[in-house]
Amino acid sequence: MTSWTPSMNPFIKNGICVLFIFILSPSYISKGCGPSYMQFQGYSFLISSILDPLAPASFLPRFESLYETYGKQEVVQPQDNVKEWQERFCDIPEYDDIYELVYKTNIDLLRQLYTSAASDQIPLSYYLSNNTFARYLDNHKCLETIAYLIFAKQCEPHVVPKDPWDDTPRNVNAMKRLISAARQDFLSIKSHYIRLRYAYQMIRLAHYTRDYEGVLELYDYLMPKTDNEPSLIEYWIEGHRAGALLALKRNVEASYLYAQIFVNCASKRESAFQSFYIKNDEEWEACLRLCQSDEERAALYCLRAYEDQSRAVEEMRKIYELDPQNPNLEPLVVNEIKDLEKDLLGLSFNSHRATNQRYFNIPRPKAGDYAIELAEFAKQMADERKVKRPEFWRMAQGYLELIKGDNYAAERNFRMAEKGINNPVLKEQIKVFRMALEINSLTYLDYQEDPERVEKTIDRIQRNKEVFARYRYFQDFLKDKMAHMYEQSNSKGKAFLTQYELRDLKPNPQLDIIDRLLAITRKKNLTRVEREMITKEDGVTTIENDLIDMKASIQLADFRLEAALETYKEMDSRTSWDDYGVFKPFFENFGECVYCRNVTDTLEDFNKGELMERLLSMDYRSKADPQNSAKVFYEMGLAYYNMSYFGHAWEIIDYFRSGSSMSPYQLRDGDYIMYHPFFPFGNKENMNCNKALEYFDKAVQFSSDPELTSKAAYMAAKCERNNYLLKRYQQDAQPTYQYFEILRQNPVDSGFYQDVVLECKTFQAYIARFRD
Amino acid sequence: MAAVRQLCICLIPLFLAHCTTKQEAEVTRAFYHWKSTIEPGLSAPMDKLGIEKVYLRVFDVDWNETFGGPVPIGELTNPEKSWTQKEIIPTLFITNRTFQKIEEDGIQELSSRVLSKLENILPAWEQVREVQLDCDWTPSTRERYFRFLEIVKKQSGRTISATIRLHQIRYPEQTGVPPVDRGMLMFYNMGELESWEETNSILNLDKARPYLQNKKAYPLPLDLALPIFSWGVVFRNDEMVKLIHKLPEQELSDTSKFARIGDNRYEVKKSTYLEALYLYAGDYIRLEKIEPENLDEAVKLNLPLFEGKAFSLSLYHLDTTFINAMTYDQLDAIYESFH
Repeated sequence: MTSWTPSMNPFIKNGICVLFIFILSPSYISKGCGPSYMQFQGYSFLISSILDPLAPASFLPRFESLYETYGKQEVVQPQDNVKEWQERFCDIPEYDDIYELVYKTNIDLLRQLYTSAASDQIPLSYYLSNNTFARYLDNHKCLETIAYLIFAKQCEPHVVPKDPWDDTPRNVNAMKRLISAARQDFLSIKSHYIRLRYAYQMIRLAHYTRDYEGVLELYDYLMPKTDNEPSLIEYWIEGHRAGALLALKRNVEASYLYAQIFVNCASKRESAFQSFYIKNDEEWEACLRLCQSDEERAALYCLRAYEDQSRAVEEMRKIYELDPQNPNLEPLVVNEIKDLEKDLLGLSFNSHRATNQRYFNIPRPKAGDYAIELAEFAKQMADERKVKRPEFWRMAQGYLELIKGDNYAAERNFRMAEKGINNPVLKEQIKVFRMALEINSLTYLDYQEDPERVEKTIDRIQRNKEVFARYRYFQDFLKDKMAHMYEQSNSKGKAFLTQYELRDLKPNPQLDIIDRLLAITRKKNLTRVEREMITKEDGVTTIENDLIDMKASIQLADFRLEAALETYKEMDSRTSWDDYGVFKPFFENFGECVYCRNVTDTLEDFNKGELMERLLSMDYRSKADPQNSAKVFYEMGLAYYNMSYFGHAWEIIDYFRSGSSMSPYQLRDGDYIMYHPFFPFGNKENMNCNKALEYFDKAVQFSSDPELTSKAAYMAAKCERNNYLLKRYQQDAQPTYQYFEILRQNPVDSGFYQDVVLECKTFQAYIARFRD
Repeated sequence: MAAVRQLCICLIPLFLAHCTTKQEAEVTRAFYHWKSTIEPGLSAPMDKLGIEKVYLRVFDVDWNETFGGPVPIGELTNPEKSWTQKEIIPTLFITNRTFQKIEEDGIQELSSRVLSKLENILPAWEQVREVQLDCDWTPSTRERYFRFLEIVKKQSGRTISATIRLHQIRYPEQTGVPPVDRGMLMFYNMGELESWEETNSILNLDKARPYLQNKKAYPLPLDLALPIFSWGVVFRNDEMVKLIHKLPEQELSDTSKFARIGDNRYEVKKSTYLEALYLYAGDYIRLEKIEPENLDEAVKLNLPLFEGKAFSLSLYHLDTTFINAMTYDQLDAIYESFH
């Protein structure tokens, strides 16, 4: 075995014999690779402020934006509490100061406040004197209120949520002592409002000690002894009473209370909804019997309507029958519309409809029927005019018609609704709906009839800063609609560029799209939409040269040299050829690198156009005198090999290469077009080595130079190997060794043969077969 | 006497041959207790069945956005009622999203908190030899979940077992093998619950069969959990909308409200409440329950995995409704079927 000579290029030495190892790193034009997370893709044109922010449904998960704006129950509850304190003190103390004193101040400071208020001599501390609420309580000597705040602070550690991992049990004895102390003083408290708050603290403590009977007993004892103005604290008390009833399995009474809390108390609405529990029809009937008015009965149906997956329209009919002015009707219909938007809006042209269906089961199977039913209900509301805002319902009906795809009915209802709308939010909403309608109404028939008029409409829509630019879904809605319209009109180029960027076409360029886009770039009177499509980011140059380069690459990949060169010559100038890369296609790459660091600097550089010219010239020369063209054949083989998937100059005819394309899974269908999540036409790899093999074979045939013969045979063996690798998943695939056999039978006393051929492990394995 | 001795000598090889061909499994009888309250009256049936182990769900762990971290939920309310004469294996279900959200440096703390909570809750923590963790991990959470398992094992100094789903049995290279001492193969919930066409999503042996065709042994010693539970699957507008747990067939016998439309399938004729769920006219219900013969088949399918092995066979789960739905002999036969 010959040892490596010191002069041997170490890169060749390292790379030469790892014949079956591929560099598998993916390369990419621009977008990054990484895990992509599937999510539903659709459109929504309901603006979140369409509903009263305090509307009952503001807590529902579908209203994330309202959640963000107004917060969840744990946020709303202290806000409402502070507001009530503020009202009770004639709005004199500032909101933040009340919040500070009620929720942030420690018990010592409250005791200091009490001492100051009780005394004429002791002034407020510096900290408290800066608090308007503390000052008010001190000035007016509100000792009952301060004593209450101290009591509430004592209760606080027993009732506030603790660290969920903390297993320390509640101090039930301390809680009971607090209840007992407060109860003792209860009747001596003059203010009925403060009595109510004491009652709340006591009942809450009893609830948290799990003394459910005690809760009811306290309630029955304390509540008749308070005679206060209506307060949200009453609902908070009812919430604890309902909790105790539920724990005692008196869920009919509990659910009745929860329903009333749900309707009347925003700060406890979420927990009331979650706690509502009816087990059977008998309990439901009993609960209805507890209701004292149709409004109360309607509240029960509301809770059922808000349940996830309810048939809300059925419940809404009952609510309407009992209480047509019920404030829940609007949020309920908006909830339903939000779901139907996802199901049906733009369904025919949503570019993600397949994934929406596959991964999210959207549209739901009977969404269309439901949309009809809901639109009929909205119509009834608008027609009968018993609801609070008939114009809201007319607009909702119009939007449901739009969702269903009946643009004519949508337009008619919007027009009717507009007459009655004075509310600025509803006015804004109808503008948004109208724009959605205008986009939805774009048709390919109109485009075929008068493309310029349609594109002017699109232009006007896109320039509408008041609506189009403000609502994020318009961009996608218009883009998808345009793409669909162009596709139906067989305007493939425009359809493509509406939805994708030109770079998305490069991994598998499509000739018909390229030709259509080239035609647009050469059109004289462009519409603004067309101009925007073909102008690059610099705002000046167009994509014409890029398209020419792609077209030439397709032709070159098909080995149509003359055609490719003619295409390239269509570029505005020869100097532009360099914009698409320079390469060293005649590098002898005996290793396996595709990102080679050992490419010899002295080799001549070629841009694609120059390479085509050189290859054509070599082709003519070799055809004229094949007997003396072995070297030319060899070099042409090198060029074709290097520009294939397996060569270092693959970018001559490709824009994206992935190592994973060699996996059997990818190769199975045999077209060398690999699925890729980002590219609409996949990624086509130029894996065909046959052209290179053809030239290497000719070089072997015509060569009289043993060294050249060895090199050509070795490269031909690589092509032979590649061809086998591409088919290795097929059951009958067998490797062939035609060129290894030539090398075996024709050993050459040359550096190449000794250093490359004989050092190759695969070749060693091959010749080992013949030793025995 | 000599003849007898000769006969015995002759029989020894036969006896040995018999031993080597039929390898009996050594089954430890177990139950899962998956409810948040231990009801009275469960000891007697367990004693009668010779149950030695109870996999006791103590709490779940889920990610809580408000708290900004994992929190325990659904804690067992009366752990003091658990069975002192049986081996108790505290079991925790941890949601996959917990491991999607948790930071790498929060894993150690989660392990400490979980173990500390178990110690606080369980009166007999000192006697606990094994802790079981249940999480349906995915490729994106595997690393963090496995790290968590390693830390729990190290911190607790106890045997750690983890639940294993069917696809994890079939593709251990792709799904990974949890770094624990034992795996509990959960042989249920294998069908397409959300498809109306499904016959029984709890135990669909046609679906399970391909998963058990991996000829290589799973790299962990395995225990086995078989289902005895039932539920009703509610469909509305061709979509699965709810599960009604423990739905007895008698609940659907009112023909003014329900129409039987096929094997274990019903249509709701009149809107009604059923087990606290409001059903609308036009809804459909598929009743899924386990018949003893299905379990026989399930055992046959699992035999090659457990032949000659010592393992726990645990029925899922301990509830008077499910126990009463089968006779003692039927339940006993399940445990005996590996012998």
